[in-house]
Amino acid sequence: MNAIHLYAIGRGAVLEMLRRKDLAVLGLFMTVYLLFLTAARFVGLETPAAGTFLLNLSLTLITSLAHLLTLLMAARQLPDELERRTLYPLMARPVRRAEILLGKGLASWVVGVSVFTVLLVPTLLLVPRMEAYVPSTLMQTLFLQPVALGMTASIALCFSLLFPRVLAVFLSGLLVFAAGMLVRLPLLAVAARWLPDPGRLNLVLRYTDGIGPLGAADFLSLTVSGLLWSLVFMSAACRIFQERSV
Amino acid sequence: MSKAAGKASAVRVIAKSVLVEAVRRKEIYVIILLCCALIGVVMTLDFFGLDGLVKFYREVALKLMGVSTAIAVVLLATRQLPREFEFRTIYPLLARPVGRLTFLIGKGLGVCAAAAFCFGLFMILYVAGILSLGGDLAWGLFVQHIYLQMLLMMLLTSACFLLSLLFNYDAALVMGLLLYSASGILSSTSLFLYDLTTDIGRLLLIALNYLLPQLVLFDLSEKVLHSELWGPVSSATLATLTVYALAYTLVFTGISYRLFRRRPL
Amino acid sequence: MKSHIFWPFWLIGILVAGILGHRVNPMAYTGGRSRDDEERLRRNSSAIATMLGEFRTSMSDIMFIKTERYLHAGVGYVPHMAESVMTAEQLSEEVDEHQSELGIPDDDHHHDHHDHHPHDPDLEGFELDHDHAGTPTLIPAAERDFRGFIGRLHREVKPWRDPEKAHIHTDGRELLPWFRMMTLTDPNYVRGFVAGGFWLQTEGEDLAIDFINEGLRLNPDAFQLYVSRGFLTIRQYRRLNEADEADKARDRLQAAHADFSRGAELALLERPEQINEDGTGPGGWTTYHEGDAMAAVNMHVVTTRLLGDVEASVRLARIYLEHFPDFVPLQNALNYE
Repeated sequence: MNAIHLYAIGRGAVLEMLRRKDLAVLGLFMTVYLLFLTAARFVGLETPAAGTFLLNLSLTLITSLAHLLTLLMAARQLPDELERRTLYPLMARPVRRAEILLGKGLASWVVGVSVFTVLLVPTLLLVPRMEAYVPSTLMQTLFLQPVALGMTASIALCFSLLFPRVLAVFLSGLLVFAAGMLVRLPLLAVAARWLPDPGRLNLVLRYTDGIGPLGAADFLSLTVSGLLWSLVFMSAACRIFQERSV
Repeated sequence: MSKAAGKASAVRVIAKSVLVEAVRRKEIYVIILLCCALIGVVMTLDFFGLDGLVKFYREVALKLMGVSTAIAVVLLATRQLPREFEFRTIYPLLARPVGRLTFLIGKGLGVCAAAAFCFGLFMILYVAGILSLGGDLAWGLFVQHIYLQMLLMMLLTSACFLLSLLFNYDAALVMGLLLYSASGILSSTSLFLYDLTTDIGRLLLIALNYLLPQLVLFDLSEKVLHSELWGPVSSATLATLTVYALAYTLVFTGISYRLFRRRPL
Repeated sequence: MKSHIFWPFWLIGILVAGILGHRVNPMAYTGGRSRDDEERLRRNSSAIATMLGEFRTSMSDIMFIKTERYLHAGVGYVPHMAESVMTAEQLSEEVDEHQSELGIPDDDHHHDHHDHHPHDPDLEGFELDHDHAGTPTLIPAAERDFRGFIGRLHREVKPWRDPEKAHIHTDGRELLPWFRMMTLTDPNYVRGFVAGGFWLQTEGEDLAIDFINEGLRLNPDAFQLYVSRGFLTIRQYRRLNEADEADKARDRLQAAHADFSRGAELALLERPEQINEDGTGPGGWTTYHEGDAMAAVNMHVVTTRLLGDVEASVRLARIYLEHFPDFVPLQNALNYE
């Protein structure tokens, strides 16, 4: 792997995102979100329970938005390039296909992490914490989110090579947002262990419930599990892309 | 052929091309299949082995079907005009004697036809499902629900056209989905804020109440669900809602037309 | 390199990732604000929740809203459902009452604050609850709605009823799937099993006991579930006793006694040292935890006495009075000495 190649491809993907004015969409969301927080502060939080509710809601919203943008960006990287035929000049250069894929995956991940960070700041500044919460649980939440976003990016990238775009987005979305619930259905309970579930790395509810952090072994297990799922999907995507005639 | 007949024919051709493209791209089928797969998974749930518990399935099915159709409409409507510009397919079309208003109406009707196709398929599946479960269907309310959902799709289509002329494709898509999903929240928020705000704030809320279409008014699903108690809505209410939807559709289409006319090709 | 070379690595990766990820469930803890029904009632009645309509991030909150709506035939009221903050014993009585209002056989008492003979012919067969009349609806009445004709249309297209009128109550049967969903999505939500179990008893106590057993398999230390099962078993005991089936009745009584005994033991282990006047305490101990703990100790004493060991029941009452010195039923139990 050539780091310079990865950087150049990743930068290209981010610039393409900026060219498409996707930042405007983010700005739009940010405005709506800030308006919502301001309205909530304006009407007042009459009980600590309402404060916790707002905190949980805000953190859940920004986490979901970060995953959604990562998913959408990762899922459209290769289909867009193939449709516009802009992939061919890139492949004519001395760049390996795995580098192209990894660069695009990394770009999607960086965008997701950036969005999460940018929205986290006003959340932590504007939402009052009116009940007791455990700061170390928040630390674990913040650490695990980038790992979960890595899973989301790799799943969406891999599915975009396997399925038509709408189906890829839908199936990735199902895993990212609903895997936890789906595996509780009796029909899918058998698959519970073998379905990647980025939602399992989401500790927001644990934090707003006022529960302490996970033990070191559990925390490490979740982290390694998230990294391994990302690795599996990324390497599978690389193989599919290598063997695909474009 | 008279001028009016020519325009009608152009509208029909454009609408048909939108419908054919929507069906050819298989996105509608994918949405329908995925929605049905989800409902199928939910139907595997057994509730303590008890018979006759159908409200849960009804609610999940109606919600999923309504949301899926709206997503399909937003996806289709927001991309119609940007794609025409991006792939430059609009030029040969407008080189013919087809006015821009005719073009817009044709596109809009095409999206509505695709929505009707999608929702129609869903409703056939819904009725079949309910009848096979042995449940009753309050037909009056049900037909009214379908009618109001179609009005909603028409309104949403015109709003998405306007959004796609104001913003880029991605922003229009996001705004369209926001408009659909947050309409209920905006309504309950304005109700709550009204008692708390100042006179100027109240004026703003009243203005907002009439400026933004209240999409929740086109959803009869809760009454359909609890139809053991609620009867069909009055024909006066239906007529008011029809006028309400048409008024917004006309305003949105009118603004879209002005923006479209000014747009350099 | 061909793909088949990678398959073993992928399989090992999936195996290890699956095992590691599955061995940890960050939501597997007891208590927590999201599962506290008193806190839930407070947050769902708050301004911010009202503004959000039905939009919630917590599944149990969504299910709670659904059960409220279904009970009220779709009419959305500002949250007020008292069932959500009832103890297991109160819930049991509430279900009895609910059954009796709907004219289900076995009713042995009637409360005049409920009415199942409404004057409105459209409401024939529905229970009317006058207790909560006056609770505001989420869609306001015309005099409180600034939206003019839009407000009128809103009240027309949604299930809506004048907030001053008595609330319509459905039979609660259609609530059951939502309790099933609550416990499927959050198996550690003990209150979901407790409340679901009591609604389920209208379909048969055995079904309800099976449901509580499922809850106990997933939450073996939840004392409320032992109390719930104890009350369900006591109902079976009463019925068998009235039917003069002494052996079977005694068997049920022994089962209930074992449940209350275990419930009391676990409750005292979980109960904090310091309890406030309102029955709450540190670590998320709520008034209904306190109520369930009191029910457990009281019923342990009562079932011991019913089994014929009066001396042991008095001894138990003395022990439990050290924890609940002002609890009158325990004080009364000493009179059997």
